[in-house]
Amino acid sequence: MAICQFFLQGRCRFGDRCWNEHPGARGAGGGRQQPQQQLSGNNRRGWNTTSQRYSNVIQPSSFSKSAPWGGSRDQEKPSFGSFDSGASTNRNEGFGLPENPFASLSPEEQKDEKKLLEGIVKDMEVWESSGQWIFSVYSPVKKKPNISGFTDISPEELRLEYHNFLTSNNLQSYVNSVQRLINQWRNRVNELKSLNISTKVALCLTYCFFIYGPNCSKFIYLLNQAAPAFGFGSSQAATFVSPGFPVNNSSNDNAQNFSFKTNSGFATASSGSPAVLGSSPAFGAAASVSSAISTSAPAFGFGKPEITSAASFSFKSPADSSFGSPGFSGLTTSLATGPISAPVAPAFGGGSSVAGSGSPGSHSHTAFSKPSNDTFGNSSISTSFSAPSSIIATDNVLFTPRDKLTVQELEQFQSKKFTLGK
Amino acid sequence: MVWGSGIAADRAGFRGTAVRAGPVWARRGPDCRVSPDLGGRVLGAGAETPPLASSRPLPLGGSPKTRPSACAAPARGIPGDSDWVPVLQMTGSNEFKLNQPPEDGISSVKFSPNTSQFLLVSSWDTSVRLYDVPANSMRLKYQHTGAVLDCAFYDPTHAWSGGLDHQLKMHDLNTDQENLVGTHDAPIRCVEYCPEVNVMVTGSWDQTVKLWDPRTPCNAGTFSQPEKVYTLSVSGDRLIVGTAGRRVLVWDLRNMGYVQQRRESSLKYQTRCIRAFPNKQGYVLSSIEGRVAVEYLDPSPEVQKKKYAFKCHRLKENNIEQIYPVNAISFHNIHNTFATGGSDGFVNIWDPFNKKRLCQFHRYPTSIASLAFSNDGTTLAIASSYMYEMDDTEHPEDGIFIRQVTDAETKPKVCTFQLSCEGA
Repeated sequence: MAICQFFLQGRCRFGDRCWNEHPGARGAGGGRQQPQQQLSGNNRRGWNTTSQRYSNVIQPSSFSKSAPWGGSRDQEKPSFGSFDSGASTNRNEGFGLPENPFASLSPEEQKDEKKLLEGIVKDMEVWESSGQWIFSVYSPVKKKPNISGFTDISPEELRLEYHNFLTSNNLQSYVNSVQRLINQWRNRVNELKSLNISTKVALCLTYCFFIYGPNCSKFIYLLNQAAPAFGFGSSQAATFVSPGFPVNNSSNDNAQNFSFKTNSGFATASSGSPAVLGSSPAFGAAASVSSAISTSAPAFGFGKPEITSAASFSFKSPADSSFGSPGFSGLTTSLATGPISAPVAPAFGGGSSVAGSGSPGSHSHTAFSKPSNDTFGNSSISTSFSAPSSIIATDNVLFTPRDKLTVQELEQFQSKKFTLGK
Repeated sequence: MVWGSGIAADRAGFRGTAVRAGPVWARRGPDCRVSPDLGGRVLGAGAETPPLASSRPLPLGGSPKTRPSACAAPARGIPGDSDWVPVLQMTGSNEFKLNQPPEDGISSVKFSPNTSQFLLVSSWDTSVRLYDVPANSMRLKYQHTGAVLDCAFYDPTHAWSGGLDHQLKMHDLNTDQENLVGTHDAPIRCVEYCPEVNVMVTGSWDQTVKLWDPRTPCNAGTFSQPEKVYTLSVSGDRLIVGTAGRRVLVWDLRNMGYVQQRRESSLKYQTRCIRAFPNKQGYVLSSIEGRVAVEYLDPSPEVQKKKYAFKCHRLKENNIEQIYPVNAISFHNIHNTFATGGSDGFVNIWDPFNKKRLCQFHRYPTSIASLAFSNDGTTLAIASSYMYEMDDTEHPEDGIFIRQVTDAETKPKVCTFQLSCEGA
């Protein structure tokens, strides 16, 4: 079916009766569009109505901070807060960002979004101030995968590392490694606290996925929108349902981002182009698009004592960039050429692919692209494809379920679909 | 009271633990040398250590046979005098500290499956020790080549343990025979026994869970997990594995071909410990964020609705809440209530059905690394051991406290108000 041009412009007068295809409206959630397309409000609202069909499973806001169990004398029923499990109320949610370049969504949706983000900010603040164990993954919505940028290290593992370094008499490098990890963590926390646009978008996209399901046509629509910019066929984009987080490409200032204030002057991830990408695991890529980050289990080793760059964190480099999606090659070229107006969404679409390549040399760290468009056009991306040599695996470390196998990803992918089960 | 038949090697200056009732000191007699071999035997004492297989319970009062004659002296000594060594350190009216604790951090404590007499303790000093609890003595010790992270009883006479040396060892406690059963590719983090299927289960940081047939003993299968295994627990014939990345997997031990249930933890942070309910209805999961979740295994939505989580092990200091990881969980077999221990040094006992806290004990000197209820639920072993969450700072001594728990502390209450009992 032909795509209705009037609908795209927001002025199709036939609405549902239209014989042409209204992409996104049919079975799509609240539309989210590329940021640069400022569609008219009524159009967006049209999309929003279709989101009514979606019943989401998880409320991001449902995990209110529960009152602690205590020796309370009264017998109120759940005397401590209960995290409601999956059975949450049905709410229609699209995604909206508070001040966003995207489609403005209904107030409810925006509120949810806001709550999610506020929840994240609060959690980060508490995490910092409370002396809690730092080396832990984090997920803002329980039962959902973790946010990128955090690695799980148990106290015993840390102590093992300590012992190893102790025996090799190299305590200083141990201290350095730990410091580096702490810095990474801090950076990431700050990023999440500051919540710039790209962070928000990425987060929303990730969790939107969970709310709407992998076939969320909102995504597909978005990708379709993005596709032309990337030279993807729409079919490819459809299969390419793995919104990773937008890549933060190698611009130097971005690199700074990671290497952040290294007050102690450690070699941080400034090596090379820290195009980091995280893709949320559940976004199981379809088999054709293995966007998931490579794999290899981040043997969290502290690597060799002579730590020079982040690479030495012995996060295994992706021997295989499980990446071989056909679309990608197209991607590079178009990336290099096409002006990408939307800082985020395209980054999103394309980003995951790039990211999958095992971000060169970066810590698997935040993968939020800065709204600096130039980074995309950066041809270094293509180089990053070719030379994953001293690369740190993007991250499995970041993303929980490290799905090494695409089959496994697919399984997960499907299982998510199932649970959200309309 | 009880005469320890082992003499603590060096307790230069009894550094204070929270001792309420002072220790009972005994003067070291001339023929009661401090033995460097802490094999549970006392040189020159002429005491006989009864064989382990015997289930003769040593009454708490101690029998004269086990008392090293020349060493005993119930006199109160002057602390600080090097001739005086603590024989029994009471830290409460119903609680005492084990003698000859491990020299480094304690990773795990487990009671023997059929008696509360014997306690197996694994430690970062690479040893696994067996204690006779009523006698307050160490019966046996064997070594690994690296820190031991977990231990478990297969039956009252066999202990299995694994740790950073990647090796899984089985030790016959009667004959003191050791047997290297197998290895993992990375440190072994958990060792558990499943009585229903008669299999030992180990989880490791190499992202696999291995099953072992204890009779032969040999490997009965390797099953890969999505992440490093941090904790696991056996519930009937099911295995619940908690891995890094907040994932929880439920396996059916009789059919390990596929994962029975794949879940994400309902807590937002790293999983620290998982323990299954004795009634096999579900499990309790704790995280590093001072939070515990009670979950059910039945995947049907009505049952899943009952699950909940709560905050605990948090202290408010200067108006800022300090959040501590909850390191240890242990269930009372009969009442289905559970105790949690955190890095704040507190042990709480919770009633999951009424969703109340039953009891909180006094604060222990340092983080609680491990907890174990005895089989009959009368005794709780509390391993208070600095877990290096900070760094290698000065820390209070590691120790194992044995506490007699009462029904009041562990039994769910029917009445509306609850007692909050402070450990004496």
